[in-house]
Amino acid sequence: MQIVERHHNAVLVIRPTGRLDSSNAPLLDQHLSATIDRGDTIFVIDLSTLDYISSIGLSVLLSAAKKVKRAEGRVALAALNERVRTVMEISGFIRIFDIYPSVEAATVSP
Amino acid sequence: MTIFAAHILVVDDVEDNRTILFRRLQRLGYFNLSEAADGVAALEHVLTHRPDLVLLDVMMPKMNGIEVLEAIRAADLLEETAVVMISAASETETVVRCLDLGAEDYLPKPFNPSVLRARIGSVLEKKTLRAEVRRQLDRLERELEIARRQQLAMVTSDFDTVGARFDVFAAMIPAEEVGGDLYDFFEVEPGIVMVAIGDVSGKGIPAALFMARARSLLRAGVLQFRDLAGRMPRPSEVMALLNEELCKNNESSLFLTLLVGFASVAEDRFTFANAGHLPPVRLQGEGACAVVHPADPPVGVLADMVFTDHAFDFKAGDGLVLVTDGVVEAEDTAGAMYGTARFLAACTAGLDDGSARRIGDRLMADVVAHVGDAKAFDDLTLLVLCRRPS
Repeated sequence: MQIVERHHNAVLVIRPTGRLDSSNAPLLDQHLSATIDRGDTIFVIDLSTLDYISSIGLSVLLSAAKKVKRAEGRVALAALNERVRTVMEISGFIRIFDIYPSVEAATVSP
Repeated sequence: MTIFAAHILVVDDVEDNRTILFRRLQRLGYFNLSEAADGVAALEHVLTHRPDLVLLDVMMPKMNGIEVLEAIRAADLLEETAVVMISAASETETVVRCLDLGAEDYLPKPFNPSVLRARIGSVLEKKTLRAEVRRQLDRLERELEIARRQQLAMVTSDFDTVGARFDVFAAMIPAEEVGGDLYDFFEVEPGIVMVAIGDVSGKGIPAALFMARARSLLRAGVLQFRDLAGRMPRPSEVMALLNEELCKNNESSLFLTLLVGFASVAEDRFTFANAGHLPPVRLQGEGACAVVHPADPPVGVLADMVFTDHAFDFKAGDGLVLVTDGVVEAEDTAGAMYGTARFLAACTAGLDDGSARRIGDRLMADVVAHVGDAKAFDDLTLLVLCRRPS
């Protein structure tokens, strides 16, 4: 799993690439925890290059969302591919997360 | 055990060298010492006494140090008996070869007391730590095995408990480690059967404990609700009850996808709520079809969640199949998923038999055939409920 950070419209964008399954989930979990711990509590997770997400991957995103909420920050998910979107729909997570069609849309939204 | 009680064998063909080493080791606090004057005697001693550490000279008549080391390695004793080579500082190539063969370290001659203390201390400490890790691992594996058996004992396989109007079958093939799948069924009152299937995110002990908590809450929750409210709970109410409990102290963000439903003879209906789980498959006449609604989020995700009830006709002769995603996502050796299409086809194939067990057995056999020699990554769980033809 490769995780890249950049800024878009002055908003932190974190992009994990590859499969978010039980072997990779701890990597993203550590990365997001470190991000939140260092005080970056407003960011977008760009899922455009995420090929697969398992239930443990969903719980990593959920855990980050909970931490951000406690820190009164904001996290959005952007650019889900068809497969990841289907998983979100079937698992009912689509109602939980703040989801945008693109990074652009997620970063300009108030 | 303190490292000073370690059994150390000193091997050198020169008596003076052995005497010096003995004296130095004693001065450092080691007291459990043995000696050998050649390779053959050394090997003999290692095989019979299994010392913790051998200080092994390289150049010796009869059998040299390298040959002794190779023999210890061949006997697979290097984990039990660490070997430190004794060599002249000039014998670098020999030293490298011995390290490749599995020697832990080497001591250059002539002996420097500080180097001797440091090297022997570190080798023995490493060995103690390794043994401790091994012991812990063994204990953990034993406990995991017990946990897995307990977990399997938690799901019921007594299928004659749902009354004469229903026919139920369920099966669970756990992946290697303890997992988080669960199913349950029971007759809440005559003519009403509750069925449930669920899957906890993740694997291992945390998932298994979460599953156990959910499993106990489910049954107790349904019965308590009925006793307190004087009526059957709706599936959405059962779900909300579980959700409130499982959202408490859930820092690790574990969650449970769960489908809970009640089949009622009087209403000829199956009413269910679906928290992020795969949709139920309805068996009716000749066909099998998934009853798809937008799922609610899983249990344990957010407190105060409101869940939705759904229903479909469930008359005499009808059936339904519930599975966990381990079934649909089961991969064969080439990485191809079993998939929804084949799953639905396999549900239909069992229909003519009309028995829950035969439908379930055929389905599971088809999944297992698909997986073949590939290692099952996730638990495989299914539940079949049929209304007996009137």
